[in-house]
Amino acid sequence: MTKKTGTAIALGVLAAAAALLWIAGGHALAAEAVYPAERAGTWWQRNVNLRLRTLWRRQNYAVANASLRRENDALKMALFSLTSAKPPAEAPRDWISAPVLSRGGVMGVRNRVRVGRGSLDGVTPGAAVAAPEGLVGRVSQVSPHTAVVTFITDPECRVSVQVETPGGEHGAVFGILSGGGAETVASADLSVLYVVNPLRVQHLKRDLVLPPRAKIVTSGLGGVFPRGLTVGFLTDETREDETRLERTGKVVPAVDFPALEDVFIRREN
Amino acid sequence: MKTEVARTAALLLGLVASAALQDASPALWGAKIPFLLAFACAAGTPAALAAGFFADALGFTPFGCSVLFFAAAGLALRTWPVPTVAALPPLAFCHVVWCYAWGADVPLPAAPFAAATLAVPAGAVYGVLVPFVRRHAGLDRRQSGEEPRG
Repeated sequence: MTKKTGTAIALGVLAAAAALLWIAGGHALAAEAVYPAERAGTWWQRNVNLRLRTLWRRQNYAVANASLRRENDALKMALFSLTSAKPPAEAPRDWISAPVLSRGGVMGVRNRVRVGRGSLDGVTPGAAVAAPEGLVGRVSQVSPHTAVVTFITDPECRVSVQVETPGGEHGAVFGILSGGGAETVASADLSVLYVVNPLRVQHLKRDLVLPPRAKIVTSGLGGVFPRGLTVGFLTDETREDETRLERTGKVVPAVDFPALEDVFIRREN
Repeated sequence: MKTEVARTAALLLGLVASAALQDASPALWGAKIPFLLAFACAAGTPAALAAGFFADALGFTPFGCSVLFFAAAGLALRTWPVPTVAALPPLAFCHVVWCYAWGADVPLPAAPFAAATLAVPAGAVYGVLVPFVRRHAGLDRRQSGEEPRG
């Protein structure tokens, strides 16, 4: 056997082994392999880097403020959980805090982050993810210590929503929210910065023109996202869609996605 | 035997460190510093396959996307040896375009140019660091005729 043949066979065996490993759970394996380093990086950022900044900039309250902010966020989510439960049949769901470890993976994909909670903490695929400001997205992949969260800005994400109308005289106005899609391709300047495209809400009642800044919340239909979570606000009046049978509108999300440092994942009790 | 074990351990450590660095680093103009590609170029073809596996697993791309690209890059550099610092920018550019063709949600046209720009310092670091570690840690494979890539 020549050296080249041996090399080709070795590469073929390696490729087959990689394929088998992928099928067996490649995502989870890779996520677990980098988890210790990323967790250490997050710990450094929050406990050492912040204190060094406090020292150099004399920001004596920076560490305490960051800790209080996280505690405040956790209390807000606990309050939301208690107020949105339907007694007595449904017990309040548990929201667990998860630090953001990385944004966009190794390719800088815009609509996903990896967080530092996994199946060992009770996180399941499809679980709702939120911040105190509003809905963030859902869990798409899980490993023992990490999870990948897909944002609602992803074009393949669909959320059943409800529009809050003043006084409620128009009854429930339901719609379907979807991510903004690849509109930045057409606007080359926007693709230089991290810009969240407006979301789209569709299948709204044709007879009702909704005003700008109307609040969009989750409807709770489908059982994935709890009812009442703020999703965003209409940017303009709703318009008739191409079929002229329904109305559609653009929504600016309530959550500041690039600034997320911690998210809350809903766990089954 | 000990050298081979140490070499494999060093490769694995370097691979995981490169993956963690690239995953945790911020995206600049839609691209990340291509540590994994730099590692693949500097460390040889088998390591390139493993780096491609990590890139697919952590990059939300289908399996085979980065594995094929990294394997091809590793084989090409083995056939036509070019310093990592020179090879990495065009490879990083092509890799982003390749991943976009496979369906990765990366912003064009900024991301390939950003990746090529970010690849310059990464290539310089890996081009110097990997041969240095090989020589001083006794991991060089000169006895088998394989030239270390710089």
